[in-house]
Amino acid sequence: MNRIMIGTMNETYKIFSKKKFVILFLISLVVTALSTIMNLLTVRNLGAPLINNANLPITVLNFMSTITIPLFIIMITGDMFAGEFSDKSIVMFLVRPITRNKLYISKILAIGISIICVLLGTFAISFMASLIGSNVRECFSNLPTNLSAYISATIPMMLIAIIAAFVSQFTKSSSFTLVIMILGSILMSSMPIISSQIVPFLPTTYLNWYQNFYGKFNLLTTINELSYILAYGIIFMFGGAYLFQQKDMG
Amino acid sequence: MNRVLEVKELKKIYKNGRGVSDISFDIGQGEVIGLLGPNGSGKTTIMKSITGLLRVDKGEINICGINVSDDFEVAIINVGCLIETPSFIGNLSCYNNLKMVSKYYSNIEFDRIDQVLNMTGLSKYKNDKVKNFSLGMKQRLAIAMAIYQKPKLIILDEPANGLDIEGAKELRKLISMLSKEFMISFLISSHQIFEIEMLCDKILIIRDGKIIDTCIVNNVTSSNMSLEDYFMERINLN
Repeated sequence: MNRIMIGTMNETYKIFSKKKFVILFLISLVVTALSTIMNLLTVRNLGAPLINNANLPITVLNFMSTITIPLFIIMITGDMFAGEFSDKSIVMFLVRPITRNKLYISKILAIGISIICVLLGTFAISFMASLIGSNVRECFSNLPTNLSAYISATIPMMLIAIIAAFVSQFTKSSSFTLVIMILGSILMSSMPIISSQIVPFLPTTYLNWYQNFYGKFNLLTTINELSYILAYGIIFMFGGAYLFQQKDMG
Repeated sequence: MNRVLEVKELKKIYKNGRGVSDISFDIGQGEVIGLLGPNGSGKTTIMKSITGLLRVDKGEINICGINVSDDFEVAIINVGCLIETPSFIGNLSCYNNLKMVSKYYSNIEFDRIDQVLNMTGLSKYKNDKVKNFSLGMKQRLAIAMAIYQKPKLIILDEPANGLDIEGAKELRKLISMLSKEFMISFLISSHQIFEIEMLCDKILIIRDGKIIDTCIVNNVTSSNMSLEDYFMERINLN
């Protein structure tokens, strides 16, 4: 069997066996449940919902993709690289018939699979919750748009994983990776204050790329933003893989 | 005798200036070679360089005639190792750790997992999470992982670390059996000189990152000299 496939299967199994993964699913369940309860309460007390329940999946996605999922991705990625180097568990795989480049790709693919699972799981939960409301027909008519937003959210989330993997090559623990990533994102978010011209060149600008898929769709903007995401992905992927290849297991 | 491992002019220097240089030796099929040397002499560096855990500055490493730098995947398939501390995924069971390793070796029958668990005395703990294991049990698991793929060369760095007297004895028996019956070669480093004396055919004495002497264990012991005295003499001479 292809080494990358074997590596990806192993790494995915490792991620799924982590408590963090289960906790994230619980968070998405809690967020969805809270939004639904809030909506039902406002309907009962004020006569109208706080948010249109047909848009509940998008509201949940906006919340999850702003804080929870990026945090989960950074923590998992930090664990898979810096964490495994610090507790030396990576040795178990480095001495197996798989090159470091293939192992690196396997880890990134496994993180990608876990992101897809989290997003699709969140979508399923939020869609089911959205049905607890009046306009069920609208929920179903919004289903393709909402689902495409969830699927497309995988791409900017993958960019976060690739950048976190790159940062992990410089750190000695997953928590340090998390700190650097948070500081980096704060720094990039404050950049527009200094110069607005720099905004298109910041990777953080494109993290809400999935928002192109609901509302007014603009093909040119979508492709343009995707090109930036891909360009950043390729740069950080090559950089990370090179550093991983060169790293000594001290 | 077929050469299982060839190390030619290996050099690896760390940023602090320490490391190994001019390391050349080879291991024949079924041979058990011991690495002896004081702390920090470079034993682990040599082992890590052979298994690709360290990038070497210079030199050539061939495993079963295949250069490690040219074709790592093919070369390393013939190697099993336990270097420094046992490496595993703590929140997985002993069996699942071995299952993950097994996926890389499609030519090995699946019941091999039970075989190696049996050989290392871990059968009854196979479903227990590894993070709850004692140091000795972790060491046993690491040995099981090292022998799983029926390698031609097994590299063991302080293999008896954490093992009780019975465990250490069983390990010695296992190493002797694998080398004699299955012609598996071993490269072993240990601070327990009696262990090296009992197991090894040949010894490489290392000091300050260089091989300062190579000796045949039987030649030393037949000259009415203990290996310990021989080692001390060599270390102090050079």
